[in-house]
Amino acid sequence: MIEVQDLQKTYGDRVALGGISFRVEKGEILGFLGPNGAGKTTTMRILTGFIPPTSGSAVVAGFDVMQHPREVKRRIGYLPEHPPLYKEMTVQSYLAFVARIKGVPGKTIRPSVASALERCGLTEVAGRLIQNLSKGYQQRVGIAQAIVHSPEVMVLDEPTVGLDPRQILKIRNLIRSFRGEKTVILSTHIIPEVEKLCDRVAIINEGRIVALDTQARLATGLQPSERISVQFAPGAESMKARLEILEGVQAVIPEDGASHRFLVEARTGSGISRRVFERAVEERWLLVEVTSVQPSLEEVFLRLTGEEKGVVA
Amino acid sequence: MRSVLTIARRELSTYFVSPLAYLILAVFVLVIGLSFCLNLIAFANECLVYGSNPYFQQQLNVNEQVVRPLFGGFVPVFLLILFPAITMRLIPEEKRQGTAELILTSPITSTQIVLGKYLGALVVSLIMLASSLTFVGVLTRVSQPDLKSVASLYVGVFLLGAAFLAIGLCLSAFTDNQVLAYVLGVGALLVLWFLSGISKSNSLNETIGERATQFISNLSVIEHFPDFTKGVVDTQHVVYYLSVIVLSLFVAQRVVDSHRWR
Repeated sequence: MIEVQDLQKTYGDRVALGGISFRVEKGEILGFLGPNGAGKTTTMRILTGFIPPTSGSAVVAGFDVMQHPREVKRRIGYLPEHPPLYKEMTVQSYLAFVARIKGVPGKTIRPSVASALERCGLTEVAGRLIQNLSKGYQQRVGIAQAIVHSPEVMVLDEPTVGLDPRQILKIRNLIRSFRGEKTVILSTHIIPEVEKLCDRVAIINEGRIVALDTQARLATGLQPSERISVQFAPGAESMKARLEILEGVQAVIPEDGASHRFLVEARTGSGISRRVFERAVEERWLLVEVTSVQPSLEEVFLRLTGEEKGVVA
Repeated sequence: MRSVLTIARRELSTYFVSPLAYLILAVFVLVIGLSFCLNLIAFANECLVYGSNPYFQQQLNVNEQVVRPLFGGFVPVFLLILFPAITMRLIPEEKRQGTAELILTSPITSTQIVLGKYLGALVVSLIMLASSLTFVGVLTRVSQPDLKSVASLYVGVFLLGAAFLAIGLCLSAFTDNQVLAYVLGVGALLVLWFLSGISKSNSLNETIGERATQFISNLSVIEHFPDFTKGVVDTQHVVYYLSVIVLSLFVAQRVVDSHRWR
């Protein structure tokens, strides 16, 4: 549905995008994760035809962004970082205006607006001036504006920024309801948001995609070692030493200061949890819990965008 | 065309949501009404005093003494001061509110955007002009003004205003600050206005030649207006104003379009 090839954008000497490529399939939700100024907004603005790329190509819904901008714009719903609202208008008349300039045929404007209102939970405030609405409602009007012409593709730039937790939850549910139906790209620097919403994650840093995969594979693929957490029943003695002698174990770190809970780090592919089980049976250890420890997306993100990024990328 | 009308309609409704349009209308009606009253009373007095004298009677002309001083003298100044206030927000406001991002990512062209905005402003000016028709109505009840020359006066004021709006819109595209857009608009109109004085300067006539000064003063926005007040609709003046409008809108379209390609 979206195919981006080696997209570059420079402002004078400053490189905003240093050549990024990715694909998004129909019905998928792709999250852009990256620190401020990484190039998320720039990418989105190029996809929506707001600014041109310096080089590279982007194809949205089968149309090239540069060659057929109007066809692309008809098929994209875009929520910029600051929702583009005419605050002196009512919600209803604003959405009707957007529907018209997006090319919705005259007869279907009324039903289009009504369904966007309903979907975004705005029916009750339809007649109110946008400037009198709370920030959460204004953000929802921003999303309604992006879906009013039933686009195939939605581009949402930080859709939950500046909202309270309850509002964030509502917006997330709304975005989740698009899964499978619309192709969505959303940007954020809030990690849990990506974890909760997106099928795949692209981590962007300094104008480049440093990682692009499903969240689970990102996490495991970047794991330098296999890690499990092991807990014994109280009373088990000197377990640390017994774990350390297992094959492949690199480190055993006591957790919580207690002597019966450990984090075991072993070589990747050493099958450490199986070994622990086998030894526990042989030696009759009082094993309470063995869990495999996945690095969180947060760790992955920090590793890829932090100081160590040179090592991984 | 549909997109142009959509944009124009939104602009128009914005004018009448904020007090700006009402304020401009009120000031216009108030000042023109006062001046109309004074002119009419003065004219009526003259009629009373001189009306019986056949010689003076020939000199009494309601068009010359009531209508023309009204629109000829005061209205162009009024347009110069207030029309840049109509156009100053057209483009800067879009940039400030971030709605430029909505408009420019919609499947419409920058020509449609500029024309829509211009049309919205033009309709405000038409409403303003229409409000002054009451005075003409009053005049036809008490006197017999020459309606043809009144019509030519209206054509002139409309074209002058339309040119001012186009220039204001064009300059507003260059900035995202409304105050700056207003000052630019008034400044540019003042300069264009005073160009008309150049052909009257003898020293300039001697140094660069009369044809050159004549050419420069023909560029002045006001130079082409007086003929309309005399009841003459001359094609060259109409062409001048239309050229100013087309040129300004063309430049505005280029500037708006350039936002896409920066």
